[in-house]
Amino acid sequence: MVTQKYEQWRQYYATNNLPFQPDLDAFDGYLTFGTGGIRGLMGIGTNRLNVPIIRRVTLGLAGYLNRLTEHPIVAVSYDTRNHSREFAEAAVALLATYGIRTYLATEPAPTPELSFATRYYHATAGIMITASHNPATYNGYKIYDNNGCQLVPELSAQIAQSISNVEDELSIKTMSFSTALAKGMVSAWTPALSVAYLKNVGGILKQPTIDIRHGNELSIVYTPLHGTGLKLLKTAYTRYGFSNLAIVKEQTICDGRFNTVKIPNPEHPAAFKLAVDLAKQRNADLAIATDPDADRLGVFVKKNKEYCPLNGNQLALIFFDYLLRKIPDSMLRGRYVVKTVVTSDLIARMAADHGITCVETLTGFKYIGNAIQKRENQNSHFMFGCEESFGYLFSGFVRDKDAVQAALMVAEIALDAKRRGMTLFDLLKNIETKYGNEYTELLSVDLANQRELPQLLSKFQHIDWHNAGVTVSEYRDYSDGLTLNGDRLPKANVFQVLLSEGAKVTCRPSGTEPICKFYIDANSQDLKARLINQIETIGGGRID
Amino acid sequence: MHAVVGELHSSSMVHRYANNPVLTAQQVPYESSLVFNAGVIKYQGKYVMVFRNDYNYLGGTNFGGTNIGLAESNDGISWKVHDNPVFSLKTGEISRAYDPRLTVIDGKVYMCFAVDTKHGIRGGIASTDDFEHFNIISLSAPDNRNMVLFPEKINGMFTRLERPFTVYGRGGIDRFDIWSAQSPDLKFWGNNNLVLGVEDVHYANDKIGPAAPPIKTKYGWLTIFHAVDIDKSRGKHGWEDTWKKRYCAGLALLDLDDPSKVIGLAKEPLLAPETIYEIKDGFRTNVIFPTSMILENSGEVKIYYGASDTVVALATAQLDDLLKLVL
Repeated sequence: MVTQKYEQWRQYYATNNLPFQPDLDAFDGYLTFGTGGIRGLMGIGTNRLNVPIIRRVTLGLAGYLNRLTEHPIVAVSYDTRNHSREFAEAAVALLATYGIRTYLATEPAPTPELSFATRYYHATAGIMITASHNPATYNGYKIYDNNGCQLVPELSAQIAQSISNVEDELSIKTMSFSTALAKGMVSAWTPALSVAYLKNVGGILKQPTIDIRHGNELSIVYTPLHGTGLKLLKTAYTRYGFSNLAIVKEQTICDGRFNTVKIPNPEHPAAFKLAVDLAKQRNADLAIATDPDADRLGVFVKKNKEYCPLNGNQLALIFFDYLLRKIPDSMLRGRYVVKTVVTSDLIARMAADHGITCVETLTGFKYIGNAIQKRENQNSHFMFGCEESFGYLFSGFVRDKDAVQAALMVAEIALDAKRRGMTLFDLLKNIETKYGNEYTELLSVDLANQRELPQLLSKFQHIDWHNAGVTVSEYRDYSDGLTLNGDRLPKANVFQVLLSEGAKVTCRPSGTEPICKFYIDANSQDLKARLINQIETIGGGRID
Repeated sequence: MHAVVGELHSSSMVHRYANNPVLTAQQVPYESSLVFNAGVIKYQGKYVMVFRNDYNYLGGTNFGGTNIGLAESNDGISWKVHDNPVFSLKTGEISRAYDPRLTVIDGKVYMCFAVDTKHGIRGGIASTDDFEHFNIISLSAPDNRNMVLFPEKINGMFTRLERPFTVYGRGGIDRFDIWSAQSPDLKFWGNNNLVLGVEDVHYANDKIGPAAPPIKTKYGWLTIFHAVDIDKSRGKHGWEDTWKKRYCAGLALLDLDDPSKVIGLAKEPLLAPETIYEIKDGFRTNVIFPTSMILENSGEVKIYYGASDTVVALATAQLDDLLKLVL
């Protein structure tokens, strides 16, 4: 059906002499502006990401910021995807049109650096053009608050309201990027920003001079997966002693097509193919990968002659255990760790063992960043933030997950272990011996469309867990809004079954895709297998 | 800016001698105000101690002088001080020698000490056969002190740990670290390497430095060090108007063949100021300054330390327990 929007866009493209071949669903409404911004396929139409849609969102943001403060400032960055720079320039030009000064990255820069830049430049907000680890056909627009934290629902709802007031994205008046530059409304990020960021990153290390002296004893292979991580991560490794570094050259090219990898997501073992090949050639200790905007880190570890992946929970346990082993007990007092409700509960048990508060948040690092912000003036000290989807943070100078921090820390831990004749897998064994076993699994159900979701949720809620030989101790419906650790959580489409046997199953539908994820967290292999069986009865399958 | 370290406690693995201190100024038969920072060895069937003696207190931080005294003991606990000090240096250039550490290498006794001069603080090494006559072998370039010698040559070379004062290169503030150096003859030193930086020790925000000659174990060189933190909220401690530092003892394990390699580091301080003689009574309180370790045949390790820069105190631990802290 030819809608009014379709016709407007067709005319717009015709007037501008541009080819107009939208997909069938290109005008099925607008891309949803959710808690992190928007994300979707690039292309023509209101249901795609393109310059007019970027302007629409930016206009909404500009209206919100100009109401918020007299002289707003925005920090802007972008990843290596096709059109990312173009979208960033469009956003910057529009902000300039509405009197908003910006600090723009001079080249593709990681999401954590954008978070830091927002704080460093005392900006009112930050914009990151990225679709994170999604396939090459996607892009996105993430908004950060003045603390460098992704928007939480309350703020995003206000901006979404402001965006929804923009009815015609094709007639938005904007100066050109070159005019914005000429008017002095756009400042480039200065080298001092990276210097300050790297200095802060070094501050997370627990034995920096030992790293400097012996870091080259650890052999590392790294791939940025065609993304933004290369420059900062390579500099950080070199500066802090990990100079025995080999980089997957084919994947250093800033290629928005991600030509050598199907999905540039370090959660997928397939993304490590070239890195592991190179690691085998060099007999490296670690192969690591960062996603295109360098906020997620994945790690493969040499185990005998093979390279085996650590899942996101295992890596979180290794990180947290290391901090507990290195920081004196008296200095742990008053510290807190933040994890999401679907991240391993072993983190909470380890924290309890050391008298540390474990704050639980909803899934998404925006909630972790927000939890840090809430506690900033409360005489408590942030120690570690983690989520099972390979997101980690060690210091609050960044308020989003930071793969550069994580990469540096995993190198220090692996070096410390290697010098004692151990690997990261040996450390995991030690953790299990000390704190108990942990077996996690992520399953997913692909739905034909979002309309199938209520039926699936109903099936989940009616699983007879006795069939798995377990007893339900608590059923948590986060859609009602729960209070955990004194924090009132926003309402979220998350459902959790807590079992008396020391396990839990969490059901979390995706907000943007027709997928429902199930997170299993058990203290034995047998129990995990029984819980998986139950999820499989309603259609769940493993995510590789 | 220094991040505040906060409360610290001693390890449960270490036990202070119940009748501490083991040496005070009252036991010294010549002029003495403070006795502390002692080098102790087992030598020819006895325990032998050389200690720093600050005498003739003049108020503030001023003393009439400093020398090094000698004491002997049959059990390492009850000490008899010799009638006269055994070592002092004073010339137009040199104002004093202090903080002695003793090491026996191939049956010969060596003493490391600090030397204040008009042109900086130097680290000295002397040998002695009788504790009456000392042959000064070398004096380092300034600023350097807290040298300790390893009790045997490593790869054919004498080896020491030291704490150079790298003020300009470390931002103009105290950021002192532990370094190692080697020498063929105790006179000419080189092969300098950073061993441990103050940044590696979480309960130190100011400086760290070598403490006692390391003990050889099958796992590595067991090494004790001092670790200092500053808290600007600290007020008056001891005799001085203000004293904002705290000295603790830390523990590390160094590689047997290359002692510039740290292979283990205890995450907690081994000793932190807690007792009256460490936190209340004394010239400069909040100070634990270990200077000697003796491994007994029983596996007990005697740790001698200066407490509050005022007395010599003793703590003991089992070697196996100490190794557990660093392995």
